[in-house]
Amino acid sequence: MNDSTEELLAGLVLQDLSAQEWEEWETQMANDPALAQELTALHTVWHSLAYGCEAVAPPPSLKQKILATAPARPRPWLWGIAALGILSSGGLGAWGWFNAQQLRLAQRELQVQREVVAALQNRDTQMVTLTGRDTAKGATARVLTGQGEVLVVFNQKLPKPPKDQVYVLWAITKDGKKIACGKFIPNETGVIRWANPRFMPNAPNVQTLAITQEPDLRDAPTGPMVMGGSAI
Amino acid sequence: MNFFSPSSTDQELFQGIQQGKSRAMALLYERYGTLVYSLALRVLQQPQEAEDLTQEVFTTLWHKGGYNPQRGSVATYLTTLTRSRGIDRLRMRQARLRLAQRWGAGEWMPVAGGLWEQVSVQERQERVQAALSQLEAEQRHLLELAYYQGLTQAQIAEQLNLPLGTVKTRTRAVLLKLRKLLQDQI
Repeated sequence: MNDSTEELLAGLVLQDLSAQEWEEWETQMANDPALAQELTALHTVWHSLAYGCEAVAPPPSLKQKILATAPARPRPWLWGIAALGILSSGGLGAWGWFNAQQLRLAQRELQVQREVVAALQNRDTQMVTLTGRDTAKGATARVLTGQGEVLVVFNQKLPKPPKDQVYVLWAITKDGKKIACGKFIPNETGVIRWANPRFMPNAPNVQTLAITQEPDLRDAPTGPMVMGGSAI
Repeated sequence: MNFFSPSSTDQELFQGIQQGKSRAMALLYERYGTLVYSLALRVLQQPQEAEDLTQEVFTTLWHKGGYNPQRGSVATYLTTLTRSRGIDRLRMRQARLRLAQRWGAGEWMPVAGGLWEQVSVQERQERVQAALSQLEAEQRHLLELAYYQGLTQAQIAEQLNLPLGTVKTRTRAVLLKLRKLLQDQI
């Protein structure tokens, strides 16, 4: 590329071409369409000046201000009701409904897997392994805690609890106190997620975790221990 | 559901933002908040205005969805929007004519992807600042007047008391020099 063409390109980016230069540019461009690529590269150089100023951290409060402007979005359960309406109106046949269910399950599983991978990739995530006992022999569960969330990842050897029973995850403190973090019933995805757990399993004074079988979430365990955890 | 992580790509985060996922916006802000704020502060020279502009830029991305992934990277969209809106504010503040509807519908120019988009913001800052440090002070000043203050060549000529032709030639030359300094990276 000769110097005059380069100058034209620079003038285009700087938006200072004269009428005569515009004519020259149009002629050159018609003869050499590859110039568009060079023009794009020069635009990138121009925009790279955004990186040329000294980095200054914004005030810490700004992030929350921006996040507080979140647009209102329909909640997932509203979508569920809408979908139910479509189904009940006969919009889909039984086969279509079955396929939609399968697809939804596959999408959900994929989403859950991505959440687990994301949690594992986060260096702040803490993990505790629990192993099954008695009725849950051979079962393992991993409790991932971080960023205010808890994921309980379990294998398929963890059976569902009897009817009217749930599993409760307990945090056991150094002084032996047992604090319920949350309750769950194993699902088909193998992952339970609590966005706002009753108690964070990675609290500073927690020594280990355990899972018991209970009629419901209670202040103290009364049922049998199903899984026990290693020391934290 | 909340499956975004610091290793999610810009495009994944943008899709999350479109679905109203605040975690995606939080991560994108952590990635580009300092870049946008620094540029806003450089253009406007006032912390409060820079904060307002940063908020405006991110909420524009969130609410108006003007970003089109086929036209360039998220980083370029954010910096171009910051600069154009910042210069708009400057001109309003200085009671000059508002920027003509130059940014209109798109508000930004398409740019190349490739290598440049694959390095972190910090690396881009280091590379651009290293390249700028190799320019003479006068050359840097010309670019600063044109880029950060949005002055036209005629306004720069008036401010520096130089002939318009000289300013045009020098500014073009310094842009091409910067192109050569960043040759292998863009």
